[in-house]
Amino acid sequence: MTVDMRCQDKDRLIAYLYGEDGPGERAGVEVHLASCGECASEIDGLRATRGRLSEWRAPDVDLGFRIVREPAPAARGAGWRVPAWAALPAAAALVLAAGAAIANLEVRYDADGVTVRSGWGQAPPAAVPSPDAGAAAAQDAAWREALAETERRLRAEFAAASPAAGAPGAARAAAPAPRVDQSQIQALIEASERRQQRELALRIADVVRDFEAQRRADLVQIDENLGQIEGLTAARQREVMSYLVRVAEGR
Amino acid sequence: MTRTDEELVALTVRGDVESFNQLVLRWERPIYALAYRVIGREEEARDVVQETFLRAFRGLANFRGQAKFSSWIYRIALNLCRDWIRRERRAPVSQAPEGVDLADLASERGPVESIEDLVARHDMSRTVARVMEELPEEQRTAIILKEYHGMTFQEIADLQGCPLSTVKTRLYQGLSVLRRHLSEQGHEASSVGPSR
Repeated sequence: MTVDMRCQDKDRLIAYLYGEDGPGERAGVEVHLASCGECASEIDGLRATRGRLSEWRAPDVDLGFRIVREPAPAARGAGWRVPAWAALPAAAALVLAAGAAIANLEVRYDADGVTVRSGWGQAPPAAVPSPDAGAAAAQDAAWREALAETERRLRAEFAAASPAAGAPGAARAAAPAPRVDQSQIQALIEASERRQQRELALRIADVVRDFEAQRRADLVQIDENLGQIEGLTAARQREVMSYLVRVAEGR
Repeated sequence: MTRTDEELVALTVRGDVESFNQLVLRWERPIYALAYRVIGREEEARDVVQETFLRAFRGLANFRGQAKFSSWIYRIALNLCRDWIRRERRAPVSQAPEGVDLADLASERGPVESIEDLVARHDMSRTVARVMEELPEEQRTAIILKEYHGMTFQEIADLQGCPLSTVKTRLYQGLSVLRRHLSEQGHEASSVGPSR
């Protein structure tokens, strides 16, 4: 059954716009739109506005966010327990500034486990891969070594800080350190590089746009100046003609 | 075999962290797009994404499946966005969508599109972002959820905690303001709107 619509039924108009109305309501809206130019124009305008909204794009970013959790020791039971080392005050607030060494990467150890983030800030220049293959390989080896060293140091610190260290329950302190997969890190770094390339492309577009805007502004300015010159010339011509007329009349 | 969100949630609760990372991979971009459009800042939107999934991870044991996982994380993300806006005590700042890849843009319209057209489209994106920031938060969020996330009126009402009729009113008022602002800026809208 067709449901009559009035101009002020904006809820029905919006339901019609998004196709979330029933068949009867839809038929009623269509009957109304066929006879009401104002509402027909409004629905066309709203449809077109939706079309413009589709132009708004969210940035295509590489988020690379993952959660890595150390397997809980069997003695502590399975599930969502915080690793023993994470409960230590020293470990709870420990944030590695590894990003400086391994291309914009941050590895955070806290009560929630291990969080790896990448591409969240400006990468240090040293992290930008060199076009030279040998240098790149050396750089690659350097950060791998730095990462391994960090891991060794962490293991030592956790073992030393744990009250269970050296005790019969030392097996807990000797639990495997948080796993940081190097291939994963490499993938994150590559993703960061791709992002930088995209940003460069966008910067170039910005320059093009700014250049075009400046060019248009200059053209407008030139046009105005020419107009002023033409105006002055025309005024001067009129003065000369007026003078000549007066002279001729005087004679 | 692709697992459903609910299956991945169940596996995560049993201790399989990789299942949660699959959920992250599946939902991080929609959540980022939502946060970016609501608060208008790239870096803060990234923070919202991270915090959303951390909170979800922490609270997963309490997630009883009374709602879809996606609805649940959308709610967490929206709450974080709202907190950010209130904390900053200001409207979202429209920021150039820096991560938009011009090559991607070009590939959508084919190789014949000129650089001027590409830049014009990029500028339109900025213009829309700017006029969206003029809207009240509730209207802006309703439009974002509808236009970019394809939610139904009822789903938006559930997320925003308001009656369904309020959602329709917000959408109507928001779209009307956008239409007027775009027209004032010389962008007479003429194309057909996107389908759901």
